[in-house]
Amino acid sequence: MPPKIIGFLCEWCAARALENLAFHRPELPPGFQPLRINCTGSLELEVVTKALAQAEGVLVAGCPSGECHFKEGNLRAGLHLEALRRVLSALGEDPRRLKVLWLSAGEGERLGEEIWKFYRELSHEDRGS
Amino acid sequence: MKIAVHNLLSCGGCDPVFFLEELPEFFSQAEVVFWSKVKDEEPKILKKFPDQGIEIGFLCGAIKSAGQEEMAQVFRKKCRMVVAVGACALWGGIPGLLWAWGEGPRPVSSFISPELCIPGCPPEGPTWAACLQGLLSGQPPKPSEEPVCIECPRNRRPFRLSSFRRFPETDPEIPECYLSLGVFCAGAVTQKGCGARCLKAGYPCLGCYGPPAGLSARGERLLSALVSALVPQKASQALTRWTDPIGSLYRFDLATHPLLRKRSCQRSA
Ligand code: SF4
Ligand code: SF4
Repeated sequence: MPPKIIGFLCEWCAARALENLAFHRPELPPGFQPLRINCTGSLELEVVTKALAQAEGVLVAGCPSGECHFKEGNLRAGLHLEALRRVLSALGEDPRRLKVLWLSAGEGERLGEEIWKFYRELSHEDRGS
Repeated sequence: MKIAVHNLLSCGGCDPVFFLEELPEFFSQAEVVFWSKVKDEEPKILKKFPDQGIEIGFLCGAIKSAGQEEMAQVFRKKCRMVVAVGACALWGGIPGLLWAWGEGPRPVSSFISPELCIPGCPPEGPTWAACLQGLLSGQPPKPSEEPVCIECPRNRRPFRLSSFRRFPETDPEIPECYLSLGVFCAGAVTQKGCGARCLKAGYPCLGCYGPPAGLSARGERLLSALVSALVPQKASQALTRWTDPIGSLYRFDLATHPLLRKRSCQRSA
């Protein structure tokens, strides 16, 4: 089974980046499932843990530092996810299964590359374990 | 009224509470037909009873071995009402921390459905009394939606944090809410009912009464609340200094965490 990736994409940047990318009809990993969210700062940690229980990888993508539509949602999200990583390690989970990405609406291509990179990392780990 | 009592995987601290002053009225009516702690007894003794022949069966502790699971099934068959008692029976409790190292125990409710759950580690006398009265009158109390904070005597006001602290690092003279001191007090994500016993004794709540009704992922929520209060410039440092994430977030309910449940499914698949 190819690894499944759930992506939480902020609607002000990453989700638009994906839309822009979609115009070029790129091929994305088969198990990639993007979800549009209002802001990475609005993402509950509970949702992230549940996603990690459902999928091999979880990607959270939001606006670069200083560009959050709600001023500091991305900053808050960054801290929450850093804290969650500590919890994941303590639980014996690989914290690399949670990937955080900051990019703007124009960086569709980079988003595509990062998704593929994450996909390869996860496939590699699957074989390794 | 016939009753049966059994300790599964637990410290054995729940059933001595039967001797508390609050409960003699209940136990003066009861005939204890099975109590493995008082007399070494085996499931076969229970099996001699007709199905539903015992009025109430109290199960304390979590379930790890096949023998413990069998006992829970026998209780379900032979007792008209099964009462799951204490944090271990309800969410895995302290033995549930074994999940941090490998396969741990599961709560009683993952194997059988009890008529009533009594929370606590161990449950406080008044909680017992209210639950048992409710059970006998046919109206067992519903879990509360309110947190321990409602019963807590400490002062609350808005706060920001520059670091997390462990309880021994706090000044016992300061009567402020533990969260505002940077201590992981689970009271805010724990069901009320104990009368804030620990807080009144000058100790932060560890969360033994479990989540308030309707609240999921209490560990994640507590973490989220405290991290939101951190001053961003100090946050990374605070997180590196944070010791014991599991004990501060999931002390009594690690066994119900979705990531660990997933892991155990994979292993048995
Ligand atoms: S979080 Fe803890 S210290 Fe603060 S009010 Fe609630 S129970 Fe009391
Ligand atoms: S204050 Fe918290 S840890 Fe103490 S008895 Fe009450 S619920 Fe349990």
